Amino acid sequence: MASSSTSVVVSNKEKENKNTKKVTLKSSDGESFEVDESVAMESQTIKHIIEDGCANNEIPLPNVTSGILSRVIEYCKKHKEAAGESEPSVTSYTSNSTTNPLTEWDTEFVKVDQNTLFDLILAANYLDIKGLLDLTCKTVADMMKGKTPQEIRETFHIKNDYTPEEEAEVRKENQWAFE
Amino acid sequence: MSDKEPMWDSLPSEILTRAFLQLPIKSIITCTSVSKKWKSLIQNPSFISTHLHRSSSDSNNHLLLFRLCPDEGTVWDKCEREVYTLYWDNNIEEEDFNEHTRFDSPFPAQSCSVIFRVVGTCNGLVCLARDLLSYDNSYILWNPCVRKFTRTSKPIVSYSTHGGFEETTGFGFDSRTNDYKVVRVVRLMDREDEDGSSLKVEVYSLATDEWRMVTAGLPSGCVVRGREPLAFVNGALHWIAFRRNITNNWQSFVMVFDLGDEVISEIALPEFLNGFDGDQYWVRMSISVYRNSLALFHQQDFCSPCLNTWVMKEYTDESSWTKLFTLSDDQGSREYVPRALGFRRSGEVIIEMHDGQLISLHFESQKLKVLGITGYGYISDHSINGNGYTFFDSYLESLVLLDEPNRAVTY
Repeated sequence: MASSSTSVVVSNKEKENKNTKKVTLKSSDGESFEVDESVAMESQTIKHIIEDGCANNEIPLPNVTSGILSRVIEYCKKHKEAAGESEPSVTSYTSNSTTNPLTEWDTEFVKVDQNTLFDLILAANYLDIKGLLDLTCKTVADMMKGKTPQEIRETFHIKNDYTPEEEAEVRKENQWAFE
Repeated sequence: MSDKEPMWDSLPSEILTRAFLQLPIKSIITCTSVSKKWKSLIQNPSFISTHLHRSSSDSNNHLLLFRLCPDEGTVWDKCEREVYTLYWDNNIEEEDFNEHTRFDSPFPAQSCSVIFRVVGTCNGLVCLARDLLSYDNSYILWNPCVRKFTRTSKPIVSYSTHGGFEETTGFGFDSRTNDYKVVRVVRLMDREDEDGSSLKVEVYSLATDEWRMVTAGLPSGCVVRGREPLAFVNGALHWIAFRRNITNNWQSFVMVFDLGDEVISEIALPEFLNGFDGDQYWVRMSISVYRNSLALFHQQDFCSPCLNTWVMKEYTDESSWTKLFTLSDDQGSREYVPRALGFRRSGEVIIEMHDGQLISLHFESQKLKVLGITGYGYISDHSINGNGYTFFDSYLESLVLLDEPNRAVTY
């Protein structure tokens, strides 16, 4: 039983490789990435370009550097794989999100320095990849949680444009939240 | 890649708000003090609206609000202290019924006065009326999540202008104008209008802080009972009203007030009521929300006492009233028929037993879950349609009133 199902999987994969359309994405610094069209279409922006028939040879992405683009592609590949997974392997996981393998993978994925996180957010926004945008925004939210306003400013290098009097007023408006 | 720090300040606003939306409410408020830009992003109606929308579509975040009876204290204490608790509305059978948080009532108990009656909740706002024992002059709209409340201006109909009256109130949201409205339905006891009408309806708008009488389309010759529950569904408030039929008995029907166009219409109640000999005014029934339609709870206190529940499967289709279930109380006592408080999102019903014990009934399987929390049970002056002390409703955390620093009081 096991061997026959394995061979079925293999032959399906071979079929897939023959028929899979590829698309080339070009980063701002001139590097080209060839990816499966289905993976690239995780990005709504790219999906529209392809559907509008404007994707001739390459799709230029002038707002995304190669370093970030390769990470984005990694994210899309992983999530596309998980979505396309056949029933048996998916149902072996419980519905509890803490043991969902993608949650763990996602958590590791965003363990990056601030610069990379910042660029990932902008890329996810530009490329319109909802899952990645939610994930990166959640990471930013987690960096804000539990911190005082001053600590938040320091973490995100935000300039304080309140005068001391103005800031006191704002705190007074919702005093309880600052205690 | 440069070594310089990323320009977080230059992030597009929609990305920043996306991050704020993932924060607990207290943290969101902290962020208003980080910079003026952050404050303006958060304290604006559009963000509050998006936050609310997100709150309502996140099924892991559904809550139930209860106003329960305090555990300790004398009978007087129980009528002066208010206990508001939020529980998670989880549907998983094995899980305990878990408390999320409690709210302190910010309103000091006035001596010799009784607690508020909870009129209703909508989008995180709780509407309170101090009309359990006396005539009140205003209502309170309270958002316990952001610790703000505002008092409405004085209504038009008052004891000094119109004499004695029975009143009932409802609360809802008008999505067309993005406004919260309180509707007050009053039955004058001491006088009547020139055309013999004793029913008055006035509506309050939070946006204008004004009350306005509703005169168009008000059916004549109708009355309401005091503290009749009003059900808010499909953008309209619904309540049970009565008019005389050909045998000169009070006959019940549902009066509908659309909050958007402020038009009054009617829906008939289930046919079983037609079988009542005499005044339906004294039938122990109340209206409630069931999914996106109406439910009728009927405490049958004759023959075999039981709680009957009817639902209108197709909203406004009067022929679709269907009996959903009957719950008999083993005690078989006429006085103490269990009282239904409302439906959970799952369709389970929260029921208060005579001693105040609250249970959640899954009527298809007939499984009762004892929740371990207690309401007021039967208060000696309990009214025909519910006692107004114990309160239950589905609840959504929201930031409503956060953008009203001048009108709302913070505590």
